[in-house]
Amino acid sequence: MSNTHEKDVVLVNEQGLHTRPARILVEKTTRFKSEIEIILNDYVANGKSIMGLLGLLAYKGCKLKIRATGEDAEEAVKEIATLIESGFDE
Amino acid sequence: MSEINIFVSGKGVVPGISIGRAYVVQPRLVSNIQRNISEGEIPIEIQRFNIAIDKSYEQLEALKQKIGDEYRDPGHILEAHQMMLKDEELRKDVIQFISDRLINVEWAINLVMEKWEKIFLRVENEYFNERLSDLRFVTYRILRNISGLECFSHDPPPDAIVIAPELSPVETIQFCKNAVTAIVTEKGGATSHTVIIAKSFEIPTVIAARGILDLIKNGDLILVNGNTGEVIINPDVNHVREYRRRMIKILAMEQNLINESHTAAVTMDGVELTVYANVDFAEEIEKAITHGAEGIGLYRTEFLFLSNINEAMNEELHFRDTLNLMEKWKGGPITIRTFDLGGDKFPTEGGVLNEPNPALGLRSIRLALKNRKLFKAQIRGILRAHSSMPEVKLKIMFPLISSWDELNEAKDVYYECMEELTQEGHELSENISIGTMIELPSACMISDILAREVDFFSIGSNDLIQYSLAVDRANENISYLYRPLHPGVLRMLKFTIDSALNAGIEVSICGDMATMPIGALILMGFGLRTFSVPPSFIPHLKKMFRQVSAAEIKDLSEQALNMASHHDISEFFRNKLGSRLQEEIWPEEGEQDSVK
Repeated sequence: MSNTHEKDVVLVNEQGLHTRPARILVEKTTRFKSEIEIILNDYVANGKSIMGLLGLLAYKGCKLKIRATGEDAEEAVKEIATLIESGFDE
Repeated sequence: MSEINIFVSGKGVVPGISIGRAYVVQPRLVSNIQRNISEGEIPIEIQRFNIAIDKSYEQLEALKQKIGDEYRDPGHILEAHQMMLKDEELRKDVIQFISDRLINVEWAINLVMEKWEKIFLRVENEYFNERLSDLRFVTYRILRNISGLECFSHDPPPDAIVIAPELSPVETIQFCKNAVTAIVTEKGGATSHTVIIAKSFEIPTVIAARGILDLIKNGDLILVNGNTGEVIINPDVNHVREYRRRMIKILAMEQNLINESHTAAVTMDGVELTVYANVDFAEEIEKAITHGAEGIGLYRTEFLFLSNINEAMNEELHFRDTLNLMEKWKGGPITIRTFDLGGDKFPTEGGVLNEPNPALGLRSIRLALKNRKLFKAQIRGILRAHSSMPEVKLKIMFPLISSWDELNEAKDVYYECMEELTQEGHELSENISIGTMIELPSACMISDILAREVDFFSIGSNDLIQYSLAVDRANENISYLYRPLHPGVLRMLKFTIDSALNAGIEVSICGDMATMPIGALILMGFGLRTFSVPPSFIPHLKKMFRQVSAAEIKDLSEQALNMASHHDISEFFRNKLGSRLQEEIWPEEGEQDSVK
């Protein structure tokens, strides 16, 4: 059984997950070995793909699920959640 | 000889005035040859893709090095484009299309574009379109590199005015680095990356100038006004002279405003005024700081409630938002207004309300008092956040209060929250004041009574005018009746300010009236000393206050109270002050009503 962690966070950015925060998010996710998925309702995006993240069309106030699977999953979820909740310093 | 004085009107998105010669950018060719391939060719097509990706990446890298660290936003946009080039999903898609369908890379890229177009356009929203245009610019670059078309680069002379159908962020950066004097595009949205870049470089920009490419040729003399969106092709001597005069004036004014926005606004006779910022979301704080705000006079919280009402029930959301606000703002007081939503935007247990007349319906504080749990979640979140930063001077106010009872009911909820939190062991600070918006005629007329119940008033002129005159500003059939200088409105304002001053409580305004020169002056004449406006208005407002004498304005404002119509009042102020305040206050075009 692989090591999977999940957490729900709220997106606070005014313009949603647009190009700038998506870029910052990818910079973060690609530092982890785990597979990372960001999920909005039924749409599952590859957390290491800027296209996937932009394709979520995540808007301000929506609930995103972070799911990581792999050796550093716990840490990944924690750091990514903090980043999203901080609003990417926008 | 070409036709002179051809006027084209677009949308001004980066302010400033320019005179220069047209540099016309034609749409670029993109290779679009679509053909089937044999299985043996698959590795070749993938190789063509890889080479084009590397080449595109290097081109963006070179440009990034060229612009250096000085320009943050353009650099970030380039990095995002680089990330798209190297994107796992995009790459997987392209390779899959090539190998599964046995098609060449050009074709595969087009199919991938179509796929992502569908993904991005499944929800309609201007912001989402912007993502798509980023993707288009990136894939066009790949396609041009595949076909070897990407060797050509633009090299306009420094006095050029770029005229283009639309510009990619990369092209915009190249042009801005070449010190072009203005940019005009036929297409484009005001939120686009291209506009953000032009703003960073402070290059006057006009977008949506429809038809301009048909009217212009390379080398034509043109005038561009980034404030109004006006473009004049082949102007005559008089227009050129006029533009030169304006350029000099604008430069001098801007410099002055920047220099002065960080000192207090003191009138000629020594009366000091305070100017706060209206802030819609924490991201705007930086602008409030650079524009000399002395506090936050209105922080709107509606956005926290709009997307997901269950989230808004959670006080953590309000706690985090308030904390974030207080951490970002290092300065004077912060005024938070509890949520001010219309019933039509608010999902309740029985579904979204469908009222025949939402403006007079279950909205704002009424909604809050009917949804105690939600109202308390917001107040508790705010109070808890403040308890961790008690040094911040916090002000909380309630919107749309119409009666004494309603105000006290809202205050009771507030005290209930305080009591609960204290019992739960939170140490609450005393450094909070409670106030009410004054934005209904009924509240104005009992403001002397309401003043006993609160620490401050904040006048919401937009709603006050709308409810007093029974005019919906957004209804174009009657919007001309929306008159801030209506004597009825002025009398209510005077009474409200008097009530606050007599009771010794603070009073300020946070409505649009404070951004109108005559409106702001009359309020000052009535004794108002604190004004809250959107950040970009602050330097203008301060400058205006410095040029007048409070005693004189007081005298004029009192006379205005006895005049019959808004027209008489406006004329009276223009006659008395117009010649002195001409440069800064009365807009050249004569029609706009705001100080900016």
